[in-house]
Amino acid sequence: MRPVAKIFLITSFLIVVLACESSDTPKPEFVFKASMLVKENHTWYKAFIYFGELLSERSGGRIELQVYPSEQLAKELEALRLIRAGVIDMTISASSLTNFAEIITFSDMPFLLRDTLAMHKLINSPIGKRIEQEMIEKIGIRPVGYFQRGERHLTSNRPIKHPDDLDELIIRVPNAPSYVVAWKAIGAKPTPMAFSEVFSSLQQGTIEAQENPFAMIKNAGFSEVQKYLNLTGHVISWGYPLVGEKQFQMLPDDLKVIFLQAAKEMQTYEHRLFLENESKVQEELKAAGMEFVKVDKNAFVENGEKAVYESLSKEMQEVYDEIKKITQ
Amino acid sequence: MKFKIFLSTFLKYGTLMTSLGFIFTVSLQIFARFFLTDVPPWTEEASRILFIYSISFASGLAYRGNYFVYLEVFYLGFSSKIKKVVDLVSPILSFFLFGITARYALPVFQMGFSESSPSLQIIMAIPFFSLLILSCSVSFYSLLSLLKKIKYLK
Repeated sequence: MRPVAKIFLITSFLIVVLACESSDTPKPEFVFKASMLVKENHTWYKAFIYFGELLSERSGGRIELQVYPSEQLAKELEALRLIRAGVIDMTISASSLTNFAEIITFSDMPFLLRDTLAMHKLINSPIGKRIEQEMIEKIGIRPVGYFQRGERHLTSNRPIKHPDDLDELIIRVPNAPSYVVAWKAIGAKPTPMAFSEVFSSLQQGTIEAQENPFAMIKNAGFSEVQKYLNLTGHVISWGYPLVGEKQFQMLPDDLKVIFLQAAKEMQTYEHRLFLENESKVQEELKAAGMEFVKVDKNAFVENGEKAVYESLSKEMQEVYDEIKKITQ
Repeated sequence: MKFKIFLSTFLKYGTLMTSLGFIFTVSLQIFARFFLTDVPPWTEEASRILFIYSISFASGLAYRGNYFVYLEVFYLGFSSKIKKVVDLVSPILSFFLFGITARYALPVFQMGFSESSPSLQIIMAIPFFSLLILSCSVSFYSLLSLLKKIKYLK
């Protein structure tokens, strides 16, 4: 036999042997695969690991949760599609769900909520319940809790204290119409761009500013290319840990109870980690040389709020008015 | 024969139109970033969809014209007998792989009717349809390649 053919056969044999699993390993009845956008050091990932431990312990090993970080399985939107198709089972998302049901836009809307208290009020209100119900009925995905996300702030290379300071500043925004509308109304020049392109675009001067929560600013290393962190806090949002409704309904009743109880505990655990992390990250950003700038929040809200409201459909404008009543 | 001509013309014009559309939207995006007061938010998404379509239109044609990259490390070391087997197995595998992809692209396409894109607000079934074009055209041309090789062997 030729040496190349030998190498080919040996390689194939090794692949087959290594792919085999020991038959002695006890197998759980239900295996849930969770796709994570974030890395292993993020609070969401840690919370899911904790959730997996609770599930395994309380179900006596009948449920196993496999968590895949850093978009190893899929990107956020693809993960949602894969859950609907039954390929994977869990993920964390919110604003991306707007593509399936319009009402979810309120989970990530600029200038809608003034503080986190308003956010909790909204989530626990009848509108919050309607959002959850629409997720189950229209999308086939069940939220099992919620994770607070950090407020979004603007970073730039000149201090921005008032909308007048923006003066057509080129800001990268996510590919979401409400962000474009809001920043345009305030006086900036918003440009939608993929997150992966932001760092090099800031370096090359294609864009002059970007907006994200503290943790994202730190993780992406924006302190290397941006000097000022303007505390606009223009978006207060949250993410839902999600499970496919079909996959959830496959569980027997006793495991459903365990699953939901463990999810509640995961939410509390994540919130504690989130609070610890937020203050730590701020210190790290300051140490990296970023200057924190206090802004005239009311001026930003006055200019942006109306534009966002007008960009909504009539039905969503009614929901918006109700949210304002609830959160005041 | 008529179908083959139709398919090849369809794929050629599809590739041409979507590639030109892609170049146009990216140019518009760059131009707007520097010279206009605001960037049309739909350009980011439109360029992505047009790029995906240009790949799916061109893949079948690339298979037909043998423009895909070959992994020659093992192939060149094989005897002529094994080479013949590989030449036969390769289009069979391609046919089955893309046939299976086409089979599963259908439910994905159907799923796209309940989802809309964030900026263009079009139903996602439109971008998902590119999967069907890619898988059907590649499996069709791999089948033709297989039949041609069998004929040649005889």
